[in-house]
Amino acid sequence: MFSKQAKNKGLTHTMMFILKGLFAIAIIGLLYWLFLDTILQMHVAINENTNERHAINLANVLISSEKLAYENDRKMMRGILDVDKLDEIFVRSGSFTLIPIKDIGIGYPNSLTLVRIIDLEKCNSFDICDGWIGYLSGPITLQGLSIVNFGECVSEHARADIWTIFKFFVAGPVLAWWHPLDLANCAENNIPSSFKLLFTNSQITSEGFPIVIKYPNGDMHLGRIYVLLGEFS
Amino acid sequence: MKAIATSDTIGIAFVVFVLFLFFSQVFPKLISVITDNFSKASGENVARQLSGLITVSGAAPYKIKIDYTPTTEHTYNILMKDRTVKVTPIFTVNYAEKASSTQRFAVGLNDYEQEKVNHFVVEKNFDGESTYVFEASKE
Repeated sequence: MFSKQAKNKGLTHTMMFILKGLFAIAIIGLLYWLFLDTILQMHVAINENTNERHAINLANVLISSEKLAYENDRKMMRGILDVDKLDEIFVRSGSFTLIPIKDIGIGYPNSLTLVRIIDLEKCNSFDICDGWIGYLSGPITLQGLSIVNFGECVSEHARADIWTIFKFFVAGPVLAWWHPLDLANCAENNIPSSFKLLFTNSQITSEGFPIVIKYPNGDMHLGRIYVLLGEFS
Repeated sequence: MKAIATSDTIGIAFVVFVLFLFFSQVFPKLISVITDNFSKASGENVARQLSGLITVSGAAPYKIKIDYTPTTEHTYNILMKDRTVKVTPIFTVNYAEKASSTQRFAVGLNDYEQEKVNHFVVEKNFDGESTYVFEASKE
């Protein structure tokens, strides 16, 4: 009798032990689910100089483009720029003519690109080299406007939940709908780098891309192409 | 009485051990994997990659075909208009940001719209003049 009671007691304790263990595991599972499903909110803010990346991409496209590059037997010579084509699009530096703004089908929307090409083998004693200069423009579109993108981003981040009413009275209407970090992310991802540079005072200097300039008489000169991009909106 | 105390101690020690193991080993790894996967698959990143790939396809002197699949787990809605690409991710997990991103590119491409896709092809052809083709499908 005594041994049966002791056996039942032991069984009860074992069952209690297992139940406690299961309860602990269930709590961990619940915490895990709560964390992933309701607490954790992943956001991506890309901190880069978009202007500089766009300028590098654009310079790469320009030196391969049929608008500037030398063609031989319908083959495009990447990095070799044709003087006849350069004269059509740009003006010679120091020629006292108005620098033209042209749309050659290459350019970011809502931007203005200053392109400067210099001939390193035609420099004077003050290291001022001959070359070409001009502006390239991209199309003006509503779709690419930063303020429109920012507005879209902000509207997509507006959140209404059980806490909205509470936050409305405690923190005000803006913080009731948006988390400050959401607004910061929208600003980080959508405000043009050229605008941000005004406040951060950061600078990027570049030596430009090396190129070869081909003259009509067959002469080939070493040169450089500089691309400065201003995304104004 | 002594046996009960021992089983309780073992139980508490076990729970503490599991919690310690979870928060020191599993949890950081889990967060790291989620962050890594999500940052690659986010709408912001895919839009930036796509706009970059479209633009640099123009740097190829003759022809080029670029295949890009950011992830096979998620899909995206794509809208291409006026040299901009708008990517809206379709995520099934709650922790992921579902906001869209619009990015600019620098070469001429026809307007294009496609829903629930995750495989993108950018093609540049040259026949006296550069032409660009963009296609998207579900993988």
